[in-house]
Amino acid sequence: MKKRIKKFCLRGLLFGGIGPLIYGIVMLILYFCNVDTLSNGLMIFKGILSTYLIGFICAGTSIVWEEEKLGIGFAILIHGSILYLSYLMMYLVNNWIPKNPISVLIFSVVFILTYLIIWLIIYLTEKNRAKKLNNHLK
Amino acid sequence: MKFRFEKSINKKEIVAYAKNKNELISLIENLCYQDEHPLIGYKDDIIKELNALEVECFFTQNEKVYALVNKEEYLVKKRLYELNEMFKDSFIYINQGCLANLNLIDYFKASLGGNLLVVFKSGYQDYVSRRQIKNVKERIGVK
Repeated sequence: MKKRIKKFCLRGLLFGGIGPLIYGIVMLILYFCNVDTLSNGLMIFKGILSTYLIGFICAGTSIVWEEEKLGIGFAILIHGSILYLSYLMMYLVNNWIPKNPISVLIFSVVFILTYLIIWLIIYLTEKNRAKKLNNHLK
Repeated sequence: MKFRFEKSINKKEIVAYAKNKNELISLIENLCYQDEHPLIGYKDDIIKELNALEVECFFTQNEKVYALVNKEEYLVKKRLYELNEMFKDSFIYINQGCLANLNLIDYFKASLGGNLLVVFKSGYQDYVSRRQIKNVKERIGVK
């Protein structure tokens, strides 16, 4: 357990910085598109902190995939749930989506679909690669 | 392939004649090397001379190098890069901390997390890092 927590934290620390970097790029694009983000110092700080935490959690929860004892369904449930809750919380705290049930529902549907599509693409790519290697092994 | 044995008191040498260096010659070369540089493995109170051909992989754990032989882990007092030099014809890096024996790989599979996994004949698994995928594909002969 200690080893898993250590891995979670190390990975999170290593890749957490990508979140604020993406946040900065998004803000820059909005600036060049003349979109008024109505940001003040506090909002920017919240945004940076939130994106760092999202990056940290995203990177850290990837250790779930290394637990072979977990069934595929359970692993997806844990990984997906943690990401969903952290993303939703950050989006609501930063007012990136309105605080009403419809918005949350739309966010949830988009999140789930995107998550599953990305996971499927990556998984099928590796499965295809493994198949090619196994054919040559024979 | 012909084989000829000549008894000699003074010489201890194996000479192979072939058009090109093939798998069999690499195997013989490894055996000769091992004869001169035996691979010693340590496990609890046991000290054992290991046959590299039976080692599924060498891996690092807590800054130490271990050899996996029939599901048993033996501490080896060599660095991974030294072992790679010794057995480069039969072994390949699959990630930073693991040298895999190509002859003892059972199959590859996709992991849930989007990685490529190597499954050895004993059932032991380790991942192939993205950096090493190209090398692994080349050694196995996948274009």
